[in-house]
Amino acid sequence: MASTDDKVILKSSEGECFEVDMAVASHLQIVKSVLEDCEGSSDKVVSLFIVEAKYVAMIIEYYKNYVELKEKHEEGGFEEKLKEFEKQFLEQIDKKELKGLVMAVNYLNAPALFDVVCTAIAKHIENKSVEYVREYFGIVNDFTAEEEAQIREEHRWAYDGVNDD
Amino acid sequence: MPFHDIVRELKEIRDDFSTISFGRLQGKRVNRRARAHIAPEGGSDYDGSSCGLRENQSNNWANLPPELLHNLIQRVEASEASWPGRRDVVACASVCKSWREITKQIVKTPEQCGCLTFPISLKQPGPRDPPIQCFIKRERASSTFQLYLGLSPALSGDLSKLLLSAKKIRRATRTEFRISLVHGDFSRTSNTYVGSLRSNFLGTKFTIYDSQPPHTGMQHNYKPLQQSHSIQVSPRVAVRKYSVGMIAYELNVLRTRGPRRMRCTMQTIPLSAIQEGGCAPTPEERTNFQDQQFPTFSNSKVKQPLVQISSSSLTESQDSVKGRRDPLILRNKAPRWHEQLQCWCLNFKGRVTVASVKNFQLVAAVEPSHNVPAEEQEKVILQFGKIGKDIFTMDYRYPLSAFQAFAICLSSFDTKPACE
Repeated sequence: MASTDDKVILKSSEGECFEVDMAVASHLQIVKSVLEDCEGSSDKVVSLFIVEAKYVAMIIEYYKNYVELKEKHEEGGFEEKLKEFEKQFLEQIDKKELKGLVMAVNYLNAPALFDVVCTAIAKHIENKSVEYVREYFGIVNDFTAEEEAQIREEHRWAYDGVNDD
Repeated sequence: MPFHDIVRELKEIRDDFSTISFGRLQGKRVNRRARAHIAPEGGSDYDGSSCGLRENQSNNWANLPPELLHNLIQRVEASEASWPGRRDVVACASVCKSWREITKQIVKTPEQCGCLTFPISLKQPGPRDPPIQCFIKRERASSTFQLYLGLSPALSGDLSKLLLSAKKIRRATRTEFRISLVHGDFSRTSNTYVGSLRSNFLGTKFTIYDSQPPHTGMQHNYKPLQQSHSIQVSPRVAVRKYSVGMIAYELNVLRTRGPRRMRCTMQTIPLSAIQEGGCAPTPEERTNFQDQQFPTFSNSKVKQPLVQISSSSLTESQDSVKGRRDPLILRNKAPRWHEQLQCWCLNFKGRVTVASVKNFQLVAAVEPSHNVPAEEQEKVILQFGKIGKDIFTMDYRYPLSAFQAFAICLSSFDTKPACE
């Protein structure tokens, strides 16, 4: 199949190496630009200094499937198949990992996966109380008493006259 | 002995002096601290993010990079275009400071997106087209009026959103409508109080009062208020009253039959707002005015300027800059007499179904010299009419805000024997 020239090695923050097809790695904009910068050099190792191995594995898994599905469904149906896969993919990820993943994807600049992960996180915010969102994201309420009063008033208005049941 | 006295006096003076200067210094310091308090915010967030991946094993999302957070909130905002889902956006703005700041950046004004999000959007001009469709429910027993976002109670059901609520209070010489953000709290000192509408003795003239000073941009004579504000230390809650509009019903002296005729002078909206490329003043924060003084989002209810703006000072300022800064005037669209039905008719495009003396459509009253495009002159800016017992529809658009439109409609609910 593909020759070794088409492979690239991604190194996680722990030093773990992942050999991936160029077709997969090129979806990560940061890897792509690094490789373009050192074109001609035999060294095909890209260090992803701040990304942990488990996230590198996740990202590779996603893009492997992405590339495969795209090849298989060139005539159409790619979108639906990808949606299906994305759903399964997200089900395996817990809340803590979701955060690590979004940061990693943001750093690696991988638009398709970034979109998927962000949509998943946005879903977690929708239809939730402020307290839930704070707890979920581990955010400390840092408003002053005056701001708090204004927010309470906004909140009261927003939730007034809406049936909760 | 006299020397001793002099020394003592000098000493007293010096003591006085030091306490004064100390007091001032303290005041300054407090102020400076308040300023510094909100400034370094986005920056620290960002710094934290770079090491977040390596070190942060805890369940802490607080240090998400701002652009990432922006992206997330934008998704929530985009997916919730209507109520009640829209409250998720309000929830995002209530999480913490950085979330609030980003949410406020993302949320557009009703004029830009046609959506109402925060209470402040009730005081921002509506969309240019199509109008925002609302309905008003009247409760006769409690003399209250509720403004809902939605087509009608039957069509919108649970999806309708209560925007504003008003209570009619009859006084010996006038009628007053107090307008609040929520139902059942009509105290003028409450956080939810947004303004009022007052009639004259005959019920022919009404004044709309906003609890918030008009947005800068039209009247620069509001500036001195800020100075008075900084001096003001009294914790007493002052009555907040800024006249923003006048509604005059034409007297029907001859007692001829026909619809009421009204004229609304919107003091805070310049006529230029409906001229080509014009814009209406858009307040950004309910406490915008206070923010300029106190960098923290100080609550408008606690610290209020004692100085009020009398309507006379307003008209003076308008006279001095006449021509450029004429206020917008709205008048009735003239109904036509329908021979077959033997009544006055207006085309409400299906939004009004019951004949009533209260029904009206308002258009801008312009003169040829004002240079207002013809289509703009034809546009119904506010339409109000009956669709059932105690149910009325209210459709408003730019440059009126929901608050101004509601106040104009409320004036129609006060019985006016002299005008009919």
